[in-house]
Amino acid sequence: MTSDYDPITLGIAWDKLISIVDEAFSVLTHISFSTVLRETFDCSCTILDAKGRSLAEATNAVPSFLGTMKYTVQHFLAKFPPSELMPRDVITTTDPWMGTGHLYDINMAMPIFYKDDIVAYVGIIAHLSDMGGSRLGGSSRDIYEEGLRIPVCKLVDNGKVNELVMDFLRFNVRTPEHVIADINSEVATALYCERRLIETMEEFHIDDFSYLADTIIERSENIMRNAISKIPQGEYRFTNYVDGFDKPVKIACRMSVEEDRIDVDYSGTDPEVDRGINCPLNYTRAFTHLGVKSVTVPELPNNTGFVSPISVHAPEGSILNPQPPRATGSRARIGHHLPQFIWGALVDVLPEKVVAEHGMHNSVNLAGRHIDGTPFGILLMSEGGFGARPHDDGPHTTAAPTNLSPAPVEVVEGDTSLFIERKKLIPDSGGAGRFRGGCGQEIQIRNTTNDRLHCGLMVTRGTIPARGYQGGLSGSRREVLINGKPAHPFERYVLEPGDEITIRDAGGGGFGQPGKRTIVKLVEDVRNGFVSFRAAEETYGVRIDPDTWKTTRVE
Amino acid sequence: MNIPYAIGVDVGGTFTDCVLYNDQTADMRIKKVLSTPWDSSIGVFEGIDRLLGASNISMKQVSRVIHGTTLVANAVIERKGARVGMITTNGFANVLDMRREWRYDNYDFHIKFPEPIVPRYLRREVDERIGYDGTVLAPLNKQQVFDAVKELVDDERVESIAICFLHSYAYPEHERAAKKLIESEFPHLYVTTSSEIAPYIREYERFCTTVINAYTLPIIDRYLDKMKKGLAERGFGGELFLFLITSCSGGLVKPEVARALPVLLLESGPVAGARIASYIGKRRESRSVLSFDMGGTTAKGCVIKDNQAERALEFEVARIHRFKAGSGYPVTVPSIRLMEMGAGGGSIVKVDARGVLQVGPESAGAEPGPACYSLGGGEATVTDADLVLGYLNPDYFLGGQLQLDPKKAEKAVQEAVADPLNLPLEKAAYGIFETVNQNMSQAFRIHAAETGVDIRLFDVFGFGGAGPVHAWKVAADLYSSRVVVPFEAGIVSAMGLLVTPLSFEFARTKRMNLEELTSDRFREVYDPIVGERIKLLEAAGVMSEEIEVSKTLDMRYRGQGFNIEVKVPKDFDPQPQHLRELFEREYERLYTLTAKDIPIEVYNFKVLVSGPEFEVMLSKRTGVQPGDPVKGVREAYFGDEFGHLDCTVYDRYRFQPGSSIEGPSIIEEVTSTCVIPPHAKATVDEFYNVVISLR
Repeated sequence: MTSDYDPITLGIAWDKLISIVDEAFSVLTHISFSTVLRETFDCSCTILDAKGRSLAEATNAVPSFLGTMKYTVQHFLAKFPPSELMPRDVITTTDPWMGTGHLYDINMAMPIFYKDDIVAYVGIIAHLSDMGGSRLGGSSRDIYEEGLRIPVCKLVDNGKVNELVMDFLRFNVRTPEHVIADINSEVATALYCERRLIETMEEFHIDDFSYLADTIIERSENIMRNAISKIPQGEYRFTNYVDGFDKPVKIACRMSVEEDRIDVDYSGTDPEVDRGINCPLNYTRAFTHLGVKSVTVPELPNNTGFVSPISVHAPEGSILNPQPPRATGSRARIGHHLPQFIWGALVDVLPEKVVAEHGMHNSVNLAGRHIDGTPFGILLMSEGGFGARPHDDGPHTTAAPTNLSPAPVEVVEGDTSLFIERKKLIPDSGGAGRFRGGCGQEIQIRNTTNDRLHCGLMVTRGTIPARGYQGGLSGSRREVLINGKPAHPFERYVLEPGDEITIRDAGGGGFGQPGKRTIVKLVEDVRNGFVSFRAAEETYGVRIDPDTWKTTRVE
Repeated sequence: MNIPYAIGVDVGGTFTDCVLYNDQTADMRIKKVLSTPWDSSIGVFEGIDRLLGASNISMKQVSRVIHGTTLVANAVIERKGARVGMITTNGFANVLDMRREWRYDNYDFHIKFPEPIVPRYLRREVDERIGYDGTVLAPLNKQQVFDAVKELVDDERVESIAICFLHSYAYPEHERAAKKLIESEFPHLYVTTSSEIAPYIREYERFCTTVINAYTLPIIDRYLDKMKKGLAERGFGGELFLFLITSCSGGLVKPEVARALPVLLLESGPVAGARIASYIGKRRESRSVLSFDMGGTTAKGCVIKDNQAERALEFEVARIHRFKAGSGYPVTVPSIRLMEMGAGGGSIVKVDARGVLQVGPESAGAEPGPACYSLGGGEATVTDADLVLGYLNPDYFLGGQLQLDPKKAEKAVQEAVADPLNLPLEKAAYGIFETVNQNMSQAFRIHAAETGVDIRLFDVFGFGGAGPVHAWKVAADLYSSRVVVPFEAGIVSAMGLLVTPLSFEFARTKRMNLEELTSDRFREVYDPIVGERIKLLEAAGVMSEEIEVSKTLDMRYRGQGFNIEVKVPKDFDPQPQHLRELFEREYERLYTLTAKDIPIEVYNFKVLVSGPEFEVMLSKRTGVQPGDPVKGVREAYFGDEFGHLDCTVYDRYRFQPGSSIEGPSIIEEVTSTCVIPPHAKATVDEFYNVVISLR
């Protein structure tokens, strides 16, 4: 089976590689410690071939890591050429430019040897609960302030753990037990992949993956090219502002669809800034790819082949391709927007495939001390409303364009001893439309611990709301209040015991004109409190009698 | 005892399976009738009447009827439950709308989510608040409870109430007080509290489970009345039991208990299958078994280690996409961990955009069914491939009740697979066979990866109509060397109902550091919950000396998100250091490493209280006759390596224990067909199982 795969064996072998990364993802989320890994799955597993091309990426991995491992491994191999690698070498880095955009993600890769040759690499990425420095947030002035930047190095050298690297971590992070345990979990996951890959080679009687890799990548590339060639050719542009640190940031997206390839060019985008919201190129690539994939072949698995017909260019020194030593902690607040620029550019040519803009994800980094005395560091996540679709409302409070799962109220309270006073939908926050955007939510939290609570805010959609499409209105804006007063979106705050923080997450944009919404759906929304009587009348033009539920169209 | 008979009835999506068993003579009769989804009691009584009529036995001779049903699951899937009102903690009325806030598919932005079972306008908030540690932060405002329920009844005509308070698993008194008030003021209402149905942390999952229970309560209540009446009319004087998914391997309860807990009746058919696999496995001393149950529309797997089916705290119902976890409603009750394995016989096969085969998730079901059924279906299915390969006998499907058309199967496979992939017909059919088997073995593997079991050492138990055709290949893909195919493999699940003991399982989330769990604390938590369950069992007629109590703790390193289940040995002295040893041993077995510096937490206290297992004699089989088992020879295809081979075809009913069979061969029985591959050998064991040795 080295040169002529029949289509049946190809399908089985391909699916097996995907199964292995999914198995590994599941191992990692089961044995890891920090909330961000175990509850929100902020991690990924990838199998790459001997040339460093991605063959399979975990199906449920967070989209931030879509396809980035390929670039990271190139950096690894530049420092440690394959000819010098030994079995069970684990190479690592937290460098934002080589890895995944901020130094809280630790990237690792391990060569897989079979009969003395490297046949593949496995790559594991995980977000760690702390990396020292000023803690995850957006206000840092440079990378040095943000934490420990681990250069490309061997974490494990031919099976032996490099204790020096571990000690650097132990001496520099606030939650060393969890950080070390999570790193060990990543290594264990890589070892799991090694065993499964070797079993697979034995089962298929192959000595290397080269033919399988070529076939997977070639076919995937062809499928993507074919899907792209169905998009009307031309140049599509979308330029808009997104929330920045002190003022909005301009993002200019120019997409050219030419025959079977797409070139995305962000020339004209604002320059990098001296705060931690710069978005390194790998992250820019991941979210651009997510946007393109969602309107072309959303149902197919990820690998290098799917992204090779797509080029991504962002000028060096722009906020989408910043250079060291810029701070990047909150790169997600910029990068998460990018799929919406792809959709924005394509809305006129692919109106059935795009969705209106989203209220988006919010994170507040909370660090403090539980009343039982243990320190904690968690990312308090919450989701805004999802954008409306061409034939359907946007779901309430649903992660998009990224995908993360906030921890439940009961878990957060137990992990932190903070008190969550409420977590509920905000009426009229979803953008009105023939199809309504999803509602955002309000969360109010009180510091009921005996210690100060450090809050690092990372807030977007506070200024620029989620746009609606085709006459649909925008969703509501996000607000964060500290003791009732509006807070800066990227600053750090200290909450004394008894102080309160309130997050009002943004709504999703609507789709189509509000006047075209059916009366049945509108009444249902009003009954459910998603739309108020007043908005029904003023925005949708329908007066509803609260006693009889009779409706009248008004001008 | 003069009333020797027991009846097991399992209502499935397509068929209702009935088994009549004589405890004294071991005589067993089976009947399959079509299910009647609009009123499943019709099918149940038709099956029972025909079974009794054919055997000339009266209902008076039946001492117990054990019933498994999909009624509850169907009510949820078809959204045909009751009108439910929900009472919840002030500030948290939107939990059901917000879900877990993530997408079960990263790339599909047109994704759909299941609609909340209780719409927001039927939910009411009341003042009350409990902290994560069970302390009362705000008292329950009973007047608000009364007013809210009155409004829901008067204005909205709800007939069932779900009470869902935050952190109620840590302190259930507010929910209990609210329930008591509602029951006394509104005696006609059905009431479910989240702390009695699913006392576990995580509000969305707990609330969802509670509203599903409330939603199906009135339906199961009416259904049980109908069952009792129908049985009484037929002169039945014995006991009716309902099969529950909860407990180690499925358990029985009396209708009075089932009435309050319909959510525990979900998925009872597949769980009964795992139950019988475990029962047979134990008797033939296969300690570790992979239960592989492949039917018409779906295949389910279960890992049974040391005679204990693996368990999960959560499963999903009514998924929008069958194979996408997260697309349904979560239900958190302890139950057997069933894996959705992939396809069944009716799963439709096509070539996907990658140019490779894809099996399912769409199914042709029973109607129109596979192309070869000639019921109007034209799409290629797994069953069509099995027929093209020569594994199935077109004249003896369901014992000849359904004539299969090989020409239609060939045409379907040719068009759907052979032509687009440019393959010869038999290669295309074998490709379907291999792909579906790989899908199923991968499901077992992903599961093994999560839980750290070494599945190579397991025996694969293949049953269900299609299971014995595929079991050998699934086993081979998992590097397992033995396959066990039980007698009447297509109906053996219903037999699982007959061997199930009466039991109750209960769990409570009570989070504490291991150091705090002194032996006094341990007893303080366990004694009341164990005592209550023992009383229930005794009330059901189980003698106290026959009652088994087994305790397990969910534990983890502080900071982890997943628990490890640690079994507490009998007569164990629950000191923290002993529990630590148990935990570390189990953790090391699962994940090879332990984390010495991190404190250990106890999370859930669980207990299973069960009566004795009912016995079914496996060493005597109705229908087995002396004579030559050889029925003939049929050509079947076994892939590139072997090509077409002549297989001896055997009549399963003429095999006696000790018989041995050489592969390649095919063994036919009414409800299933067993394939033994080339180079494999099989024997018939003392329980009439066909045991295939692959290496």
